Amino acid sequence: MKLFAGSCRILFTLVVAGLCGVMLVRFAPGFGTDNRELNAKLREESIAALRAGRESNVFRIYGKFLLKAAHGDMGTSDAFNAPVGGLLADRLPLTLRSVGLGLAAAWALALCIATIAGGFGKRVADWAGTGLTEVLLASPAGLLALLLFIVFDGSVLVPVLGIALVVFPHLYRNQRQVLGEAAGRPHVLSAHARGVRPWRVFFREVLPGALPQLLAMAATSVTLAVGATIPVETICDSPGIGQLAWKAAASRDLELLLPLILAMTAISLTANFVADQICGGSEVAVS
Amino acid sequence: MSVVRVICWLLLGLTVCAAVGANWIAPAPYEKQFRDFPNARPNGQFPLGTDELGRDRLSRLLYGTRLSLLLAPAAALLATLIAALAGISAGMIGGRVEQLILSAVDLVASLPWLFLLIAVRAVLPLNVSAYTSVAVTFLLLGALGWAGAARVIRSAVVAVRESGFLVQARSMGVSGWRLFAVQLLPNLRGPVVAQFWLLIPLFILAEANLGVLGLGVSEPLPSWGNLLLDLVNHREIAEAPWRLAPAALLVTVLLSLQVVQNSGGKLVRNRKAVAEV
Repeated sequence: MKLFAGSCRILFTLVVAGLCGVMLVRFAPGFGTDNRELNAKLREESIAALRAGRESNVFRIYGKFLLKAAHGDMGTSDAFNAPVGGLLADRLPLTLRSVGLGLAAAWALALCIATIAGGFGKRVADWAGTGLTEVLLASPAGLLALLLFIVFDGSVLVPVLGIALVVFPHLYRNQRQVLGEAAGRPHVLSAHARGVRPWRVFFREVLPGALPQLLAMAATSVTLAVGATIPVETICDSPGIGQLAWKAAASRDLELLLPLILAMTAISLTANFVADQICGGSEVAVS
Repeated sequence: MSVVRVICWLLLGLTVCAAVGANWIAPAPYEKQFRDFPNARPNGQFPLGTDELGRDRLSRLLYGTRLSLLLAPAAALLATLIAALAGISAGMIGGRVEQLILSAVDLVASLPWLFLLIAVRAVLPLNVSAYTSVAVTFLLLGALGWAGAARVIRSAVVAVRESGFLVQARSMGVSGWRLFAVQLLPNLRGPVVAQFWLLIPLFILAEANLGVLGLGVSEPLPSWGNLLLDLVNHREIAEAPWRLAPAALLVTVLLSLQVVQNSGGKLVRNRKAVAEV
């Protein structure tokens, strides 16, 4: 039942986001202009026919878009002169791989440092993690990608590292705080006082107590990673969804931009929903 | 006050002074082209060299700093005002209005920030004058960056609404408007001001990212974002490392802002703890 309600909520949010997007496109300056109208060889009747075939009602435009999307047709990109569905299908796997590997790297690094700093109270790890976090938070994703691109001389791993470095500081801050709080609880201190081994205390008392809050960060990290794909893929010339979004924006290809934004929103919402479900499950397990 | 904090305050003060006084400090106007000296190395006349059009890099950095440092707070002010309006309306009115506002907040917050930003930027005309591009960029940041702040302010309103002193004021017959102006607003000052300060670095970063993508402030006006665009020709950076000056200044200013904000947060928490004792 919860699964059904959650899916309905995601679908509803997507429909509303799509409607907002269509409204933006409809009322954007230059809506409905067609380059073919500038063709001097066309007769007035032909130009009038071009104009007549154009829809201006927002709800009808959106209805047609949804109907076509339900049949797998998401329109045609003006900038690429290709079907939007094909463009998305071509580029999504690369982005998903970069985002997946980047998230894995960021989680591994953040969890390692946060465990040593927060779970075991090692000051050097805390200083290193906090220093790295502050520097990374002060650096734009585009600049990070550029520096990585220069250092690694355009390696294919650069987008992965770029995404990992954008996500890491947010993860570390959260994990450090959560693990630090969990390590300071009375029963954990009592276990230490009784001479239970630190690793045993960490895995049996600290980590299970912090798990729901750690997992809650998973959804936010997906949204952050997806957002980072635009500057990272653009700077690294990686042909993924982020670069496609930038090209669509730079050439004002709204036909392509709308499905792209909807796809990214769907990924973020699904990640949020899955994290909620896992958090709920783990909270029950811990209690 | 620790040494690091003093250094950060000094750096911020110096940067703001240099940015505000760019008209007097800058060796040349930001758009002036010295066509005999394109891509010049740093020297007495051009302390940071010149770009490919012969424009003085130091002058452009000073004017760009002024633009980014003055307009990010302006955008943050707009976003905070929208957030305060939405948060206070949701918290005070409640019911369906609250649900509607929270749904809008959830919708905006669920979209990846940069995707939303470039999508709305693309809807507006791209071929605009430099001054229009400044207005568009920072209005966009202000109009789209309010969601997180609205959620925090709404929570603060709900906390104050249910507090004892407000219930007592109501029971003493204080009217709705007076209750709002005298009791609620002064107690919301802290969260609203905190949100404003938190949004400034966020918007500086967003402008920088938009600039790197070529969707921010247009030429010839300089900003931290479009000055970073110069680094995209990365093959020349090893030979001309002074081109990294805008990036170094941006990171330094944002780091200083973080340190100052963190120390401000600690100060508020300490004062609260002392007051509670």
